[in-house]
Amino acid sequence: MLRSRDDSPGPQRAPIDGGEPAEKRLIGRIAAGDLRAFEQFYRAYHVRLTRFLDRMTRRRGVVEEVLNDTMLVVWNRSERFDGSSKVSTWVFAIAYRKALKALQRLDEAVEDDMLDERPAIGAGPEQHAQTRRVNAQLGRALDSLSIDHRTVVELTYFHDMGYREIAQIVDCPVDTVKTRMFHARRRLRALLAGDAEDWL
Amino acid sequence: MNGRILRLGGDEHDIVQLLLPWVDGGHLDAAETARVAAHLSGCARCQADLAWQRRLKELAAQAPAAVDVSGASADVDRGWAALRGRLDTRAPVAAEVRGRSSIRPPRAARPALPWWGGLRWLVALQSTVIVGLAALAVMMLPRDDAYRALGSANRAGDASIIVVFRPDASETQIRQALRDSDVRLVDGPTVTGAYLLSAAPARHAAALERLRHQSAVLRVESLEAGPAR
Repeated sequence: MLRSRDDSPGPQRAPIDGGEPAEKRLIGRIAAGDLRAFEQFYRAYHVRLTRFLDRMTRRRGVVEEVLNDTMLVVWNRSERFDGSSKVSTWVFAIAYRKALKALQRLDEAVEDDMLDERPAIGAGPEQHAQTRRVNAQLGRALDSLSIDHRTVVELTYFHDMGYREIAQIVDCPVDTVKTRMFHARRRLRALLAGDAEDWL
Repeated sequence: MNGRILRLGGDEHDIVQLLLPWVDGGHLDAAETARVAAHLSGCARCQADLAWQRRLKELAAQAPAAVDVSGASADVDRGWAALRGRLDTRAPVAAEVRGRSSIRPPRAARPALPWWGGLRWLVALQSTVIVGLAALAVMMLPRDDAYRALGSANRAGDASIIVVFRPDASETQIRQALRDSDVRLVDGPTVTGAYLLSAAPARHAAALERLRHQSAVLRVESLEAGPAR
């Protein structure tokens, strides 16, 4: 019943050859002012952060701005990284805080208290491929979650992070992460009732 | 509801429910893994829930995004060029300076200061005076924005075109291509071997077109926002 780590589908992992030790060495070089190391780091994290920030903010213009603001912090403060956490945890925590600030600045509605009253998704226009339709429904369902719930779902399912790591990123107790994930799953189930539920 | 934390330590089913999202990631410790496995073997609801989550995880990886998350080279290049222009570049240090397990060595592990270490404040004061005098001297020089010394910080933020030259292109051919296209080299090579160029806004499109016809050029892209030209 339980599968190994490598069986899980599609999450984005650290793209730097050599894994965590290599990422920490890269941060050390960045702290020493090595621009080439920073460019390598930037390119390695670009896709992961773009995906995360897109899911979090849902604003095209905000994603690139927050991504580069995050990387600017990496460049300017890499000497403060003390190695007590994974590099990805540190970077995602910066991105999370930057995204929250950007959303506050834009005065976005980051919580969705009317979610339980919203009808189940399933009345969208028919598309030819069932997969496309279900994917579109899932995208809308994820968008409908509160930013807290969406963040833990995204980090868990797409970035393959554990609840301890997520707790560090969003700066909350591990039990809060578990609870958010529990409620997020329940809401996703309700939102995906209909065609998508059959497919799932 | 969002902030309410479920009570742990009660029903075994509830505890396992909270752990289910992380079953496949190898994120649970040995005790948690054993606990989940023991419960799953006899709980049809949790088995069904785990199967649903695995399918959801597959779909989540394919769900549409509002922005291009494919990591297209042009997007990464454009983002890098924009960030490069904002960087306060420091003097690069070739040697790796940090340890493997900890980026910042503990203070106690640092070597003791030599006997003259106590005079650091004097050295710092002297440095400050030197920097101040140098800044004053620079301020008194006539300004010439067109002049740029070889050691000056580059201006990657000005880049509007990214180009990759053919591996067998000679330096003469590259120089000729830049001259013919009326562009200026502002940064590179990047780690992917590309170079960042700038062109006057009014001549941007023409420069792109000319570069595309240069035999020394393998690939050229605009870094301007909007569809690739």
